[in-house]
Amino acid sequence: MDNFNNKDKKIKEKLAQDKFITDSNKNVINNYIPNEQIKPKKISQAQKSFFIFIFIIVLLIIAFVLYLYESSSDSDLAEAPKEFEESISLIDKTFNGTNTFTSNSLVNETTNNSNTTNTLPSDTLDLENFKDFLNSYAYAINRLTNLNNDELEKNTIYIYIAMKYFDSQSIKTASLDTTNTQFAKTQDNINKFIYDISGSEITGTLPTYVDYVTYSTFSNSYDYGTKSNILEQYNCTDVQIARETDAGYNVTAKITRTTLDKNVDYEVSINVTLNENFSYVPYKITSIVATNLSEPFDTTFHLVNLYDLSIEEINLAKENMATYLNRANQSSPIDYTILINSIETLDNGAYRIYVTVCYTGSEQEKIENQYTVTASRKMNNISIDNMDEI
Amino acid sequence: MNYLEDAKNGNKFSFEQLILENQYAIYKTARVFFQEESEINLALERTFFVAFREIKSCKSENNFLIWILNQLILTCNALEESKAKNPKALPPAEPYTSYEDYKKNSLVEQCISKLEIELRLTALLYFYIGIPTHEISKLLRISEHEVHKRIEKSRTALDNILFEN
Repeated sequence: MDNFNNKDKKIKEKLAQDKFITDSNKNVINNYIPNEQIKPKKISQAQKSFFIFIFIIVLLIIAFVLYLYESSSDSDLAEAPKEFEESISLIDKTFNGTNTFTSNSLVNETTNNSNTTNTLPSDTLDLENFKDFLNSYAYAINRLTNLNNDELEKNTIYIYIAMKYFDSQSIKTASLDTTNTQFAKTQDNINKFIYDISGSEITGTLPTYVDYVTYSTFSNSYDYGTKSNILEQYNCTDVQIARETDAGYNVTAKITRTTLDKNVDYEVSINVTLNENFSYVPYKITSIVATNLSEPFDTTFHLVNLYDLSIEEINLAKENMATYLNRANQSSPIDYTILINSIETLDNGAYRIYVTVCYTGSEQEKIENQYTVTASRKMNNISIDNMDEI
Repeated sequence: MNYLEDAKNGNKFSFEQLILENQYAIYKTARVFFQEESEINLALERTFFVAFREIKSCKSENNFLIWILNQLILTCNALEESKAKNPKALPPAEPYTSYEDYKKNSLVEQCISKLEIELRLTALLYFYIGIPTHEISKLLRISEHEVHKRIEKSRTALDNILFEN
C-alpha cells in the first residue's frame, strides 16, 4: 500500500508541474464573460425537481382527501341520511316466518337506533319530502297488506324500496354515482331502513325473490335481480293532509304507476306517524290503501302469482261474490265494487281470495268491508263457497 | 470573499474567479475528449454557460471543481455524441496551435495519450486533479471498483512512462 502511495505521490508531483494551456484556450478561459443576458436561474434544477415532487405529493394528498371525503359522504348516506327524508312503516306487517320480522315497540326502536339515529327537526309533516319518498315507497301498494300471505314478496318489496331510496339519495348527491350506493345497500343499512319505515326489527339477511333482489355474500350487500328492470315506476304528483290522527296524519296522495304498456293513476290513503328518532327516514307508514285499484284485477301487483286463475275467472268470481252478498242481504240489490287484494291457493286446490267490497250506503256514504272468500273451480264456473267478513 | 455566493447572485467576475482557480483541471479534462482547440473552446464555452445559469445547484465552493467537472463531462459527452451523428455539427478546426505543438509542451498530454482510451479520464482525474475515487465513480457513472482497476492499470503505465525512461 505504501508502495502505491509513494508511486501515486511521485506521479502526481510530476504531472502537477504541467500548467500548459494553449493561447487560444487560455483566452477562452481567462476572458470568458457570460452573456449579459444570462443570469443564474432563481431556482436550480434540483430545487425545481423538488418543488415538482412536492407539488405531486400535494396533489396526491388532495386526491386522497377528496377520496376520503367521498367515502365519508357515502358512509353518511349509509349511516346518517337526510334529516328531511321521511319514513313510513306499516304496522301489523310482522311476518309470521321463521327468520324475518319481529314486532317491536317504539321504545325498543328508539333504544336500538340511538347510536345512529337522527332527530326530526320538526314534528310537522314535510309534504314535499314525503312526496319524494312515496316515489320509492309506492311499491308497497297492495303488496304489504296483511291479506297477502306471500312472505317472500314482502321481503323483496321492503328491500327494493330501501334500495330505491338509496339510489334516489345518490342522484341528489352530485359526487356520488349509482354504483356508490352499493356500499349503502348492506344488510345492516337495509335492515335499519326497514326498521325505520315498518318498525320491524330484522336480523340477518332476508330471503327474497332472487329475480328481483339478490344478496351477495361477496360484497355483503343487496343488489337488483335480473327482472328488477321490468318492475314499474311510480311518480307521486300530489300529497294532501286529509286529517290529523291520534298517531300522526292521514294523507291522500295521487300516484301514477308506469309499466311498460300502461299508466295507472292511484289515489292512495296513507296513515303516517312521525318517528322522533330514525336512521334514514322519519316516517312510519301504518297503512297504505289504494282507493281506486284498477279494473280488472291487476296481476302485476304481485311479483309472483301464487295462483292460476285467469282474468276471466277472477271477474267471474267477483260477479259471484256480488251475487252471494246480495243473496245474503236479502234486500234490494246493491251495486258492489269488489277489489281483489290477494289470492292464495289452498291444499285442496281451492282458492282463498281476500277482497275489499265497496258500496254506497243508504245515506250516500262510502262503505268498505273486507272479506275472505273460499272459491273453487267447478266446470266453467268459479263457485263461491264461503264469504266471511274480516 | 465567497466567490460562489457572489456568483449565485449574478456576479460574473466572481464566477470567472472560480473558473480561473480551477482552470488547469477544467482545461486538461476537456483535452481528454477533444484534440482540436475549436472543439475544446466550444466545450468550455457551453460548460461555462450552463454552469453560470445553474450555479445555484452548486452546494459549496469546495465542491465547485467536482460540480463543474460534472457539467463539463456531460457537455463533452453530448458534443461527442452529436459529432458522431453529424461531423459538421462542431466548428471546423481553425489554425490555432496544432495538437502536436500542444503535446510537445504538455507533460500530462504526453503521458495520458499513451494510456488506453478508457483509462485516460480516470487517470487524469486521479493523478493530475487529485479527485478521490468515490467522486470519480460518481463523475464517470462507474463503480468504485472499476475506478480502482483503472487507476491500478494507469499507475503502472504512468510509472513506466514517467520514471523508467
